[in-house]
Amino acid sequence: MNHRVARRRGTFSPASLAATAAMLTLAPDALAHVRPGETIGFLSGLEHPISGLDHIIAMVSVGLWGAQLGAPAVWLLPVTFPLIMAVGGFFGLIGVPLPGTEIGIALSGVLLGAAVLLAWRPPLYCAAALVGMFGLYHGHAHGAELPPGQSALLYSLGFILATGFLHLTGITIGLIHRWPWGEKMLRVAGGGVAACGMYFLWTAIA
Amino acid sequence: MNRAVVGPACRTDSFFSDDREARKIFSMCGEKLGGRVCPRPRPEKTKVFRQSAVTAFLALLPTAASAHLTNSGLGPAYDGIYHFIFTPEQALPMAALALFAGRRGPAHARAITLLLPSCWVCACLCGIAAPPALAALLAACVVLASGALLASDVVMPPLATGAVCVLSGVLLGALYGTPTDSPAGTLAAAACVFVLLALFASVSLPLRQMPAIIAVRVAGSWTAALGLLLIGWFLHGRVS
Repeated sequence: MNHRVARRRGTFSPASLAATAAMLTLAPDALAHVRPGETIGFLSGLEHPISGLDHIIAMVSVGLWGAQLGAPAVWLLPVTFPLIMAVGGFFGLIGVPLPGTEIGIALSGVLLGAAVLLAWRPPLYCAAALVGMFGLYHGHAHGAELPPGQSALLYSLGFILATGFLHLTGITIGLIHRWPWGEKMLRVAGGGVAACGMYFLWTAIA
Repeated sequence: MNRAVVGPACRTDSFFSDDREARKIFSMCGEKLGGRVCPRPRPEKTKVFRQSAVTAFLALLPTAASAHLTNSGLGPAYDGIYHFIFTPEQALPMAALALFAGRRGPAHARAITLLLPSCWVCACLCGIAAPPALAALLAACVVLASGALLASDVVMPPLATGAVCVLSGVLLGALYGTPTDSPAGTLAAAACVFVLLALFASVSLPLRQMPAIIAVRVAGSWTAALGLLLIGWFLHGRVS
């Protein structure tokens, strides 16, 4: 009975005092003015390119095609794509409109997949121009969809790294083309990419 | 928990074996009832005051909040190192420039490891500061230019590399500023800059195999792409 009275009056027990003391001494430093979103900026940027299948298939197929074409396309195409993608992201960020972005992204899957399927070997500048054009569309979409309140540098760093690693994944898979069975499998994979691209094209138009 | 009450319901017998023990504990507020010490509760105000004092004392124990400063707790030198390490705007272009200088040869690598930290620390200690409104744009331009140099692998004489080092050192130093009141932090960060440049230049200096050279140039193209995106971010902030 007396316990209840004491509690109602708001007195502290030794246990509650000890808990308060522990909590107070464990309190971390107050970090005022931390830049908003900085702690999650890198991971958000890393996650963004792999959050959509249309982006993934296009970027992986750049690597597949580069591996199929061999040097110097194997490194030139994955260098061209992020650079032109950054230009597209720049335009998206400053609000320059690019018509038919979704159709362009879907077409990138269709055409790059078809190029792998048919083992198309155009001149190097032609391949780079094609990849660069699609990079522009992908970059613009990313730039226009960037979330607010992120750390620009860390977000962009994660974004570029994720794109680059998707290309590297494509190149690594594409290395199987040196074996006869691997070449066939690679072309089948290109057909799969083109089919996915057709689906995205259908959804973009419909 | 004080269970003792005054009056007939006093139950001190169950707690204390003798008066001496009870007096010891309740020396300030005990009273005798029939030869026994029967403690009465302390006044409520005294309890609240004591508990408030204890809470206030404990509240003073956490460390100080350090807004706008990097506080490692190990002194200004470590604070400076800590601040530099967690400033990728500084470390990234420096790494790109060091890789570029290493690709060009030992004379270029020597120029960057000596000139850039010297100019950087001079700019910091002299208090040269970039205009706050343009700091983000300047940082983005430095990232873009350093990445473009590395990606293009442009051939230039050591003198030109030296000029690039001086320019980028002053610019990066102006963007870095002085994070602490003591110059020890800046000097420690300058040592960190030197180590970073020496490490990256020594990585790219002996590269002769094509895949490794391509990897370095790809890293440069990614850095340039990052710089371009940062310029876009800056303009996006201006536009929106």
